[in-house]
Order: sequence, then C-alpha cells, then structure tokens
Amino acid sequence: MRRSLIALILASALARGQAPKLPPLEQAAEEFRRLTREMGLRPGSPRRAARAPGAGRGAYHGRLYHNLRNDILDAVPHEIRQRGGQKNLLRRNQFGFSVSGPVRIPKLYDGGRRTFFSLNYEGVRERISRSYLRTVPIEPERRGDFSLTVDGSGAPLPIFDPSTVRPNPLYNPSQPVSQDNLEFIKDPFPSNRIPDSRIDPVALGALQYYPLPNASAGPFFRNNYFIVSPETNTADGMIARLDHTFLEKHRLSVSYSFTNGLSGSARLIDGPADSAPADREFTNRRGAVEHILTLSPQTVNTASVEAQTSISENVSGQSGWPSRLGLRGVEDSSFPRFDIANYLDMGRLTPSGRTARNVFTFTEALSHKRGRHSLRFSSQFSRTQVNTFLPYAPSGAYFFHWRYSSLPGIVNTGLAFASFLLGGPEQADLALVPSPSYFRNWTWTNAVQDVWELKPDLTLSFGLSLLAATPRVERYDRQSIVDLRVPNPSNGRPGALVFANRGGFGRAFQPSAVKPQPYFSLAWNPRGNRQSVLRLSYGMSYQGYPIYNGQWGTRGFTGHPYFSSPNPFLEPAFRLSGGMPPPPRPVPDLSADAANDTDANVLDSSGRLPRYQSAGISYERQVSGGIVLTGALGVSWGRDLFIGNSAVRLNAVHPDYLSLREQLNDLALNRALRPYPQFFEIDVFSQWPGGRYRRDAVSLRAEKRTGQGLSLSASYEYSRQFDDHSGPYGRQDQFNRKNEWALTAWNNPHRLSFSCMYELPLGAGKPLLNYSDWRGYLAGNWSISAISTVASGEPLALRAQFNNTGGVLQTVRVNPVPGAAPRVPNPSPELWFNPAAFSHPPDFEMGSGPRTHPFLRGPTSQNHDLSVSKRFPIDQERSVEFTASGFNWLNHANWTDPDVVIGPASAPNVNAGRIIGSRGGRVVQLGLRFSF
Amino acid sequence: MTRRLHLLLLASAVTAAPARPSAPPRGRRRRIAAWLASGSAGGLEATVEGRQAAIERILSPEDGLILLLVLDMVEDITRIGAARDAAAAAIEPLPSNVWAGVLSAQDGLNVLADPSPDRAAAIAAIQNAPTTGRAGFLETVDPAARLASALARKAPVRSAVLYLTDSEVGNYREDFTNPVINYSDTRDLSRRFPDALIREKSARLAAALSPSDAPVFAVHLAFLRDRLNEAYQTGLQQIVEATGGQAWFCRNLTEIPGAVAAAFERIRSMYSICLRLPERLPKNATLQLSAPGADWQYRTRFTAKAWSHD
Repeated sequence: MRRSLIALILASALARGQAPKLPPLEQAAEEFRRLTREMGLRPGSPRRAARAPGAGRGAYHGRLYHNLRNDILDAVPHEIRQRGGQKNLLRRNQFGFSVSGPVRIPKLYDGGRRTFFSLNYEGVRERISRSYLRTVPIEPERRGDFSLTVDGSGAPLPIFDPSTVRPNPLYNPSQPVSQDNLEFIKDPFPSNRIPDSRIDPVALGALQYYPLPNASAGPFFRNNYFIVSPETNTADGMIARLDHTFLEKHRLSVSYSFTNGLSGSARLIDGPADSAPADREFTNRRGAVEHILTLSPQTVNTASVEAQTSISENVSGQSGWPSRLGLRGVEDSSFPRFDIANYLDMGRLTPSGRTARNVFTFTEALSHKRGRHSLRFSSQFSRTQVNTFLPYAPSGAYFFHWRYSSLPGIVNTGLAFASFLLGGPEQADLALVPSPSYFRNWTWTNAVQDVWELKPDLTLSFGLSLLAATPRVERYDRQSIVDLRVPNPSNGRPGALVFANRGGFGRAFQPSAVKPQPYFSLAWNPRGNRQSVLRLSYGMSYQGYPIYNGQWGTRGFTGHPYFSSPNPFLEPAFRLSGGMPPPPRPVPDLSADAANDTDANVLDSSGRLPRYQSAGISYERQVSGGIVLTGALGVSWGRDLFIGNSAVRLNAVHPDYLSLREQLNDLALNRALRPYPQFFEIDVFSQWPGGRYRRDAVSLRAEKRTGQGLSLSASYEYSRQFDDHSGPYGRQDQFNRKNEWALTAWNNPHRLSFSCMYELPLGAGKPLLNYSDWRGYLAGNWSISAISTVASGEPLALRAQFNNTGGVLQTVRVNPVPGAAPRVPNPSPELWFNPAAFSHPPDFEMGSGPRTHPFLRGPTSQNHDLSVSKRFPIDQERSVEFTASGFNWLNHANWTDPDVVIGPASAPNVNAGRIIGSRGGRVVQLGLRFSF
Repeated sequence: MTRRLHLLLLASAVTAAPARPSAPPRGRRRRIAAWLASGSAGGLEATVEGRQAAIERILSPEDGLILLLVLDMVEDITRIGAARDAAAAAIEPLPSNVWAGVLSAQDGLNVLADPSPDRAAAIAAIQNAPTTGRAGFLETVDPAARLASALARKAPVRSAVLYLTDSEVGNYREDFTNPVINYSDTRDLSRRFPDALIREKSARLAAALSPSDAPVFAVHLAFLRDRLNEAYQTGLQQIVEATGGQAWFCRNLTEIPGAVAAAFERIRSMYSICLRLPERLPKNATLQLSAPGADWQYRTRFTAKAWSHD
C-alpha cells in the first residue's frame, strides 16, 4: 500500500514538472538508501564506494612515536645522593610505529571489505645505571690484618688460627660449650693478623679482581662498597596480524610476533670476578591462528592454534680463569664462584647456558544461547617443551663462613672473609652436565558453563571444568629423582635414585592428575533496583605441574659433586690451594646410590597439586552525581601450594636433637640423625606441594566519570594474609608447620590508590580560555593522567644474628623480651622499632617469636606518577601529541626497611631497628607521537 | 492514520504552488537535541552567546524520527542475547512516527535493515546480526553520525544514532592497547599510562563529532574496570556527549534491558530544535533555551560550525 502511495506521489509530482515531494520519513529513508549506497554500506554497493572516507572501513590508521629518557631530566635518586653521587646515567630511546587498515595489492587484491592487517614495531636502545650497596673487606683485611675488624656492637672481633685447633683437656661435656668450657682450643692469630704465608694463593689471586671499599654507609666497616653501573638493553620486536572474513560466517585471524633482545646486567664488580647475573640474549616467537564460525545468531564456534617459543641464552661465559688463579680440579672456564657470607660474592653461578621454552596450545569453544540459558563448552590442550642446558657453577661454587676462623662453638668470633683468606671453604659444589635436557608435559582442560537469567533481576552463573595434567617427562628419558620409598643400596635406609623408564618406573615420577574446578556466581538487583547490584561468587582451581628452566632432576645423567666440611669449626671441606677434589663418581652413573652424598632431588609423587579457593561478596550502588560506590568482602585460601627449599626441608634434623649441642657440628653424627642420612639436603626445586595461605580483605571503591573526559577512581583495601612459607629466611621448624603460620612477608594491610584522567577544560569550546584564534590552539587539547598509591609497610621478619644450631635449623628467630614494648613512640630512621624488645636465643635453641611480626611493619611507601599531554590537531584524522610523564614526580623518598637482625647480648647489633637510607627519585620521560 | 497522512501529503503536493525563490537567510543552521523535563515547548526562545537565535523549526516527539540502531557486539553471547532481546522488546512498541534502521559496526558500517515502520524486519535484522569480528564503535561512529545528520538536513525529521556495543579496547583492529612487544625490556615506563592512545583517539573523535546535527547514544553492555577500558569508556561517553547524546554502561547482565529501554525512551522523547545562528559567532558557543514554565535539558556548549551549510 505504502509503495503504491509513493508511486502515486511521484507520478503526480512528475506530471506537474516538480521534484517529487515525499512525506518526511519516506524522504529521509530514501536519502538513507542513497547515501548508504554511495558510502558502500550495503550489499550491492559499487565496489569503489567501500573506500569512501565516510564508510568507516577504508582508512589506514596508525602512529609513529619516540619516547626519550635522559638523566638530565631526572632527579638524582636518593640512594645515590646519600652516597654523595651526583648523577645516575640514563640514556633511553624507544621508538616505533603501528599501522592498520585493509589489505590492498594494486591490480591483484582488494581486501577493503574482508581482509585487514595491523603491524606494530618497537625498538629500544638503553643504558641505565643501577646502584648497589654492599660490603667488601677493608684494605688491611685484604692483607690479613683484622686488627681493625669489629663485631656488630663495635667490639674487636677475634680471628682464630685453624691450624692450632686441638681438644681441650679441661672440657667438661656435662656443661655447654662456652668461653670458659671450650671443647676445642684454637689460638688467636697474633695481633689478629693472618701471616702472609698463611694466605691461600688462590684467594690471593682472586683478590686482585675484588674491589676496594669506596663508601662508608656503615655501621663500622659494613655497607662500604657502593657501585653505580649501567645495564644495557637492546631490543627490536614486531607484531603482525591479519584478519579475513569469508563466506559471511567465517572469520580467520592470523598473527605473528617476534622480539630479539640483549639484556646486559649491571656489573657488581668491574672485571672478570663480577657476580652479577649473566648477560642474556632473548628471542621470542609467537604465531597464532583463530577461526570463528557463526553457526547461527545463537551459536558461535571458536577454534585457535597457538605456538610460542621463548629462548634465553646466558652469554657471559669465559675461559681460563681457574688456571689463572691456580685453582685445580675444575673445568678451566669462567671465574669461580666465591660466596663469602655477608660480603660481595665473586663469580657467576650460571655464566653460560641456553633454555628454549615452547608452548603449543589448541583451544576450541562453542557458545550457544537457548532461552534464558547461555551455554559454553570449551576445551584447551596445551603442550609444553623446555629444552635446557644450564650448567651450574662450571668452575665450582665455594662457600665461606665464619666458623673455620672462629673459636669452635663460640659465636661472634671468626669471619667469613678470614676463612676465605685461609682458603677454607665450608662447602663447595659444581655441576657436570654433558648434554641438554628436553622436558615435556601437557595439560588439557575441558569446561562447561551456564549463565542462567533466572529472573529479570537475578542471574546465576555456574560451571565446572576438569583439569587434566601430566607430569614432566624427558624426551630421551634422561631424568631421575630420589624416591623416598625405595631403599638405598648403600645403607638400606629409604631414599634411592630411580630413573625414568628403568627399573619398573614409568617415564614420569608423578601420576597424571584430573581435578574438578567448580565455580558459581550470582548477580542480583535487590528489589529490582538497577542502581544497585549484589554479587556473590565462589571458585576453586588447581595449578598444573610446572616445568621450570634448569636441569633439576637429572642426577645420574648429570653429576653434582658436593663437598662439605666434616666439622666446620675444625677443618674445611678442602683447601682452595689443593683444588677441588675429583668427582667421586663418573658421569653418567645410573646406579641407585648415585645421588648419595649430594643434595637429593625429590618430587612429591602423591599427585597433590596446589588448590586455590576464593569467595566474595560485593555491593555496588550508583549514587547521585553519577558516582558509583562499591564495597566488597573477599576471602581466599589455598593449600598444597608449591614451595621451595627456603620453606621445606625434608632432610632436617629434628629439633629435639638440639640437646646434643656441639656434637651436632660433627657432620657424620649430624647426618646420621637425618631422616635420609645418605644425602646432605633434599632439593625440592620450588615444587613441593606443602604451603598454605589465607587472605581476608575488605575494600571500598568510588568511581566517577563525566562526558567532559574526566574519570576518577579511588580505592582502599584492608587485607590480612597469612601463610606458612613466605619470606626469604625459611622455616625454623620443619616439624611444626603450625608454628610457621604468620603474616605473609609481603602483606600490605592498608593500600590506598587513586587514579584520574582528565581532558582539561581549556581552549576552544571549553569553559576556560575559550579562544577561537591561535590562542585557543595553544590552550586547548591538554590532558592529564595520574596514578597514586600509598601502601603500608610489610611485616618485619626479625631474626637472630647467629645460627649456632649445628645446621639443625635453617633460620633462627628472636625471642620476645617480656614487658618490653616493640614499638617506639615516634618511629624514625634513627629508631624504627625497639630492638631491646627482642633477644638473641642462646646457642642451640629456637627463637620463640613468630616468623613475621604481627604488628611491626616497615615504612609506608608511596608513589605518584603524572602524565601531561598536549595534542596538536592537524586535521580530523591526524594529530601530533607531546607527552611529558613524571614517575615519582613528587620525588618522594621511600625509606628502606630497618635492620631486623638482633645480635646477642654480648655483642648487640648497633644497627638493629635503624634505617640506613631511602630510595627512589623522579624519572621523566618525554614522548612525541604522530597519529594518523 | 498513516494512510490519512499520506493522502493529506499527496493533496498538498498536488495543490502546492511552486515556491518562490527567495534570498537564503544569513547565518548557519544547527539542530540541537533537547528534552522537555516539564512544561511545554510554546514560546521557546534561544540565545547563543547572549544573542538571539532564530528558531526555524521545532520537531517534537510527535514528529518523525529516524533511529539508526548500530550493533557492535562481538564478545559474550550471553550479553549479546540480552541486548538483542532488549532491543527487540524496545522496538516493538515504538510509535509509528519512529522508523528504525539497523546497521552493524564490524568491519565498518553495514546496513542490515533500512529505516522503516516495519518492526518485524528490524527485529529480524537485530536477531540475525553478525556477532563476530572486531569492535567497531570508534571506526564507525563518525560515518554513522554523518549519515544521521544528513537525514536530518534532508527532511524535517528527527534523527539519532543508538549504539549497542560490548566493545573493549583489546578487540579493536587499530591497536590502542600498546601491547608489550619486547619482553626483555623490563624498564619500559611508556606503558605505565596505558590510556594515552585511547584518550587521544577519543579526544580527536569528540572534537570531530561535535558539529553533528544528530545525537549519538550508546549502551555499553560490558563495563570493564581496568585502566585501559576505563579510559575507553570515558572516551565513549565523551564522544557521545559531544554530539548531544548520552551513554549508559551496564555493570551487570540484568541491567541491559533497563539501559536499552532507557536509551530508546530518551531518543523517542527527543526534541530537535533547528536554529539559525547569528553571524560571527566564535567556533564554540554557549546556548540558552528558555520557554515560560518549561524546563529544558540540552547541551549548553556546542560547535557553531555544522558539517555542511544549508
């Protein structure tokens, strides 16, 4: 009817010689049809029309940019200024481009409607200074003169001659060892000076490459080496992507990216003895293909395949250094690793090596909406390969402690550096790695999910996924572990080396695991009020078996000779000048006792995997002024978390044996008391499922957004997180996990954040400086963006200065002093907490304090970043934008944590409770970007 | 009713005398979207920068409206389904003076249904609209607004654009996420403010769209809280408000029907006031509408320049 009417109007108008006059809506609709045809927005439009500027699909967009950082723009960091430094070298240039648009190949292909590409490139050239404060021996100490050396309280520290050790005929075994009841006698060096003839030639040779003090942060002669050295960073990378639509219902997306880079670490020592991490070369490649098929408006299927490889290569290998130093018994390669307790180390642990990590992932997902239910079925299969060759300490690692140069059994005597000069390592080891390892595993997750719109104001969402995870295998079955259920042939005790695919063992040492992962959530508008939303959620998930880099778990195929002092107070593992003893076993050695007298590699074979659970409730409400307020309560907890050697010690001597006191220093007795005496320690390589945690949090958030380009958000969170494993110092009591339950080492209970983005109301068309001439061009198009965070400090982990427990305890905590308040009235860097509230436990006793203190915390930290941008429009599509960003723009100094080491009453650590410095400084980056 | 209207128009077309050529009035025309919160439109006066602006035409909610519904939905099928159902439910009862056209935004604008009073066609187009591809709001909002403006200039109708979008920054073809390319570059601070690219694009688009004679509205189906999407959503609001429109953000699936219904109602109840602007105005000017006893809602600052002179 309508068409005939229009025809009639047209006919009538034409008959009268007029342009046809349609009703307004018809007129507009006709104009719509004409314009959309011209713009190429409808099927059957002329091909050329698709390129019309207004079509919204024909244009190429992108940008060119350059970001610049230079130390002349920055404030001198506080940690450098405090050491008297005036400059912190920084040269950084970051540049790149991106472009995207339709694929068009003249005369060959016009993908204006179907095929699009995008390309991003970025390059970085950087040199940036890093600063470190360490302790090195003072010049007289390097000559063996310890007459100026003092302990933590400033009292002279005596050095004893290990060559004079002898039993004390007057020793009373019924009494504890003390200065008055010595088990062994050692004579102090005359004048506390080691004669030149007694200094080990290898140590003397290494000292040529060891730096002298250059700072005096203190106290006494500690913190006397301050180094500022540049890290280098060179990288080039690109991401390319292609999207293609075909047959209306199919979409194909292909992407490829690569990056190559060199990361040169900052030197801690200028020369071959540098102990900084090795320089590394990086190569990353990633390719992905995704296909989306729209089966119907209610059904969509997505399938994707992705392959990714990341290669990291340590390139700081050297040769000939052991022979130059006169060190025998090791491969003549890089500078040996000398670990001298609190002093700056020498030599790198892994100067050379290569690891390639490849991950192949296939994902398939089907989404279907039926009535009030939206169903999603998904499946993801992921295959991981890690090909690694990472020999540890090829020239050996040598560990020096105070005991060898001390009076046996008496703390606060002896010095690790004196032990080094005497050439007496307490322990030493190295790795013998003839070939790389090729590890493999896979995970497969299948999930089903339903979102159910139960009522107009109530939506339920629930799902279940099944995680199937396989453990690690090695391509050539060159892997092994110590199985703690298998008797060792040498002593019949449990714990023997077993090999993959040999002796009745499978290719893997853990069972494949299948774990259910349910979740549930609810969103409800109370009483139908759309301004308010109440959300509830619960979820449970598992972590699959990891494959870490490194050749852990290949003992027998690789060797790891381990040498330890029979009694560190009496004699060293060996003498440096005599060289490292020959490996006790050949490589390979596929015998059940091949791991004996080493650190055993042990896996949990129960199939336990880390389990995480969380539950939360939140209430969100939009209030007047467009402000949205959200309050939330959340709790999360986990068990069987993977923990490492600092938190689990399966071969620990039971603390009950601390009553044996000095007898524990005898290695043979000490080992006999261990559950698995044929091994030194047990290395679980950060995958022992033995950790627990719980986190409770309450948070408030306010958001405000306006059409003037203003966005504000502020949030506050209060949280308490506890666990039984975090922190750098390890568990005190392996046999009492409950006693380890304490605040998580990195728990910041109060956290306040603020962020804003604002297009300033200046210039043409804006309320302020509304000029229409050139002044408006200058005044307009300014924007700012800011992020600020204030967080309370982390809990302090107080610990005893000396661990004289015969190696029974990994760490020793402090004892609280009854009646003494840990807090001080006005905490300041001079005194942050009251060290007199804590005492050093006596020898061979555990501390009774918690792993982390329940209320003593480090200083509050804050950071404020600000970015100011000015856009210069060229035309509608093109503009130039200049950006100046200030990171820590207020140049705020954040105090470092106080010294948490509590010394014994006889020699208290004078630095305990004090803060020796601050860190941070304003960093400015300038950026220029041309967008089109 | 429609038939009577057509007959009336036919009669008027047949009997109308040819228009006498007359000198075009001076000054630019701008169409302003406004809403009457209370009172009536009678006696409406407009001043721009304190100077009287002639009101050439007032189109009220009873006049014709061309609504261009642009679908930009490619993410979660649950939200998409809710938005489709809500749009269908909102279109069904629209009065006959509202003609709805349907377009999709993936890979540029594509017409799915021409504007017409045929509700079934529009609903079918909505239900069968493609749901895969890249997000398209930023790429298509300019041509969509131009298209709607052209319709308003061509015929005495109100016109508006309504986006139903679940777009998120990461799904755009043009890269606003500034992704990490070199993983070994651990000291990169350029991504500390990830919002820079999207802010710049939004500001550019807002400036470009401010001369639009047709307002753009948007219902965003999936509110996201990360900083990048926060900037994007702020930019989206900035862009639509620059045209005189409004944006709704759904934080929850259950909010979608209400937000879509509110958007349709806002558009349906829109007035379009055609002004003849005084000469020699600054590029951006302040507008004041006043009528006895009436409370008007409108954009007070606007660009005096329009996309084309008429």
